[in-house]
This record gives sequence, C-alpha cells and structure tokens, in this order.
Amino acid sequence: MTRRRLSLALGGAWLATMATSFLPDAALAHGLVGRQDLPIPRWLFAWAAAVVLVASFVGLGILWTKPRLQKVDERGVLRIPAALEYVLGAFGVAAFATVIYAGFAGTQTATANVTPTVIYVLFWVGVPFATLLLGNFFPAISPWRAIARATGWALGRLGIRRPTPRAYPEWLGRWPAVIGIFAFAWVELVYVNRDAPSGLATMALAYALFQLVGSAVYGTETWRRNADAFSVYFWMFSLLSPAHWRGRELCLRPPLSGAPQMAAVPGTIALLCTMIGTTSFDGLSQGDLWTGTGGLAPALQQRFINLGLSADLALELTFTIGLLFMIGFVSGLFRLGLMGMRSINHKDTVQSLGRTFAHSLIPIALAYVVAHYFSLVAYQGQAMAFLVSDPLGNGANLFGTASASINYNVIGATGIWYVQVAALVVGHIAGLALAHDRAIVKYRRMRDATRSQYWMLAVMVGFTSLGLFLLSTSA
Amino acid sequence: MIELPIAHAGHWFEGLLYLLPIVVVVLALAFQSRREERSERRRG
Repeated sequence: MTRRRLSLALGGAWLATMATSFLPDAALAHGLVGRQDLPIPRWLFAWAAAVVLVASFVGLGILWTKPRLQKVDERGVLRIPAALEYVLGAFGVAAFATVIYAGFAGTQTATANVTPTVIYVLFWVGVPFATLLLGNFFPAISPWRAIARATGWALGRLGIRRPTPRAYPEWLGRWPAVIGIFAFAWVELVYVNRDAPSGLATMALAYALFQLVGSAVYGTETWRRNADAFSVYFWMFSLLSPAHWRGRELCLRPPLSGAPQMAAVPGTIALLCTMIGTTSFDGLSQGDLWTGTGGLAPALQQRFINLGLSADLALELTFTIGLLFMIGFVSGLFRLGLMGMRSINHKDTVQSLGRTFAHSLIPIALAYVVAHYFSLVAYQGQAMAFLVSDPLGNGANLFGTASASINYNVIGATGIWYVQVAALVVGHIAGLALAHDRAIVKYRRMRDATRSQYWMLAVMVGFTSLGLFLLSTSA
Repeated sequence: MIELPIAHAGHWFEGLLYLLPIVVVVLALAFQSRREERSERRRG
C-alpha cells in the first residue's frame, strides 16, 4: 500500500471514528413515542446497510456500463394555465402574510401558534418531501418571487421604467444560499429563542425583504436561482424528482436524471455539505455524547461560563461550534473521497473532481432530511389540522378542526426506524449511481471508472454508518 | 463520586460496532486497489 493511500485510509477511518466510536448509545427520544421493537440490534443495521451498498456498487460495475443519466429525454404531460400561476403566487403571499401576522399577533406559546409549525415542519421539511414527488413547485408559491414579479408588472403598467438588472457576480455563485441555509439551521438548532413566534416572524420578514432587494438589483429569476437560499435548497432536491417543470409545462423524466444537469458553480459543494452537516448536527445534538450527563456540550458550555459568558450565550456558542464541526466533518469526508479518486489521474485536482461529482451528494442530503425529520412530519405535521383553524392560538375555530389532536399511533417508533434506514440506504445507493454514471463519462476505461469510485463507496458507507449512528443515539 | 470511564465501556463498544463496516470496506478497497495496480504493472 502506498503511503498516500494508507494515509487516506487512516484519515477516513479517523474521521469516521470521531463521529461514531466515541459516541455512547443514547435513549433520548426526539419526536418518537414508544420503544423500538427491533428483531436485531441497531448497529447490525449499519452492517447490513454497508453490505447492501457494496452489493449495489458491484451491481453498478457489472450492469451499468453506459451513461444513462447524463442526457435524457423528457416527456411533457401537462400544461397549467397562466391564471393558475397567479393564483398560486397569490396563495403564497396570503399564506406568508398569515404566518407573519400570527407570529406577531398570536399567542407566544410555540405549540399553539401556527408560525413555528409552518416554518419548521411544513416549509423546512414538508416542501422538500413534496418536491421529490411534484418537482420544483416552490417558485410558483414563493411569496417574495410573487411580490417581486407583481411589483415589476405594476411598475410597467404605470409606465415607470425599471433599471436594468446588474450582472450577477460569477464568483458569488451559491454562496448567499450557503449563508442563508446555515443561518436558518443556526436558528433552528442553536438559537435559544428558536420557537418564539414573533422572533420567527421578524426573521421571515427580514428574509423576504432581503430577497426583494436582491431581486431588484440582480433580477428576480437570477437572484432566485443563485441566492435565494430556500429556492436553491428546494430546487436541488427537485433534481432527483421525475417531475420537471419547464415554465408552465410539467415534464416527466427518469428519477435522478436532473442531478447531472446541475452546474457546480462556486458555493455548490459548500451548500451541499452545509445541508448534510447541519442535519447531522441535529442528530448529534440529541445524543448523550453531546447533551447527556458528562457530554461535550455541558462541559464546553461550563468553560465558556467560566470565561464570563452568560449561560444562554455560552450554550449558543457551544452549539455553534458543534454545528460548524459537523459541517467541517462532512466536508472532510467528501474531500477524502475526492483525494482518493485522484489516484486514477493525478492531473485532476480535488476542486475539479469536486465540481464533477458534487451532484452525487444531493440524494444523501435528502436522505438525511428524510431520516432525521420524518417523525417530525409524521407527528407534528398533524398539528396543522388544529393550527389552521386557530392560527393565533386565541381559541378561534375557523374550519371546525380546532379540537383535532395529534395521533401518535399513526406510525410507531419501529416503523419510523425502518423508514429512516430505508431512506439512508436508498439515498446512498442513489448517490453511488449518480457518481458511477458520471465516472463512466469522465474516465474512458470502465475499469478506471469503477476504481475511481472505490473511494466514493467508502465515503457512502461512512455517511450511512454515521447517519444510522446519529439516529440510534437519539432514538 | 468519581465515575470511572470503564463504566461506559458497553456504550463505547456499541459505538465501535458502527465504525467497523467502514474500516472493513476501506481496508478491502485499499487491498483491492493495490492488487489491481500490481496486476497492471505486471502487464506493463
């Protein structure tokens, strides 16, 4: 074994060790009710998942010898009328206004106010889930896009000449989206007052205003495609969907085939690593290693308190460090895979390989979202039944459903675990398939294509074990 | 009371079990990669 390869192997093992071997098993429940009744220990699922991934890798090498996803034909199946687009835009604006109003005027008890559930459950998790089935529908209901377009239309009707949009800086790429997603995850996972409805409403309003300014300067569509964090976030997941919207026409295509079309402009890899890293931290932060007795977080927080910080600030600083660590860890794992891939052709740089294979991270990001937040949608999503009738939490019953409640028997803890395992395994197999398909194009010889993916396989097994471990600690 | 680290050995061991598939896969791939390189060198 060459020294370089040995160091790569050891590096990969070290990174994985950092996240798994030091972490004790935890029994803290998060969004789960009841005990899991599994026929085999949870760690055995990680072994089984690794076997499935290796078998899939071998299968891809033998059966998938030509690129199948790089260029595909799409078939138009439906065209929606222009009027519907306006209706959907108006719906998005009305829903946004309701959420903002409820945040300010409603009760500040998070569970009784519609704002936190809409933002954290429907918007952050529900839209990606729906996007996988329906394609990228978010632009149609995006409130800030609708307002920007309506403003442009109104100015045109009034005969006011709009300034020509500035050219969007190429170097900026998707970096604004990276900052936006990180900021949202920070609020969700770190900020002490994360559930305060009025605070959430203020932040949502500030975000919308920022989007309007960006749209005015760089043009609505250019800004949306690059810098609107949530539009970019949802769009990335839509690349895996068989449904593809071309304007108002719905087309069908093979699943995953949208991902290879993604241009890895600056910030793309950072965005994907941020998406995976923040979700990973969500899992880590619910485990004993982080929050339990003698965990890292209380120890670190105490050190900051000893330095003179308040308890809240110390806690936020501690969790910020954890969040950044997980993003760095995920980035490091992906980078190790790329460094290993260089062994096929040393002329390739890690950066160029990163751009070539970045899209293979999209299904992993989605798998992590499904695995970590499925229970949230399954349980807290039901809360919308009564929150929609009483959005302010003041005793109203607009649709007669205010007395509805959450049915925790809709799916048990064991069922959730199986969904999580399936999501992780399927997501990583999809990632392998995307990387394999791209490798066939990049490397002329099939043998080189397969060998280049050895390291990606190791990365995928690492991500899967990490994901299952994080889920097991918080189960 | 001082808590001995050994008290959590069971938890640590279970954590290690999640790591093992990664180590096995990495070592197997490194071994396979080395074998292929040797075989290519032999063929010239």
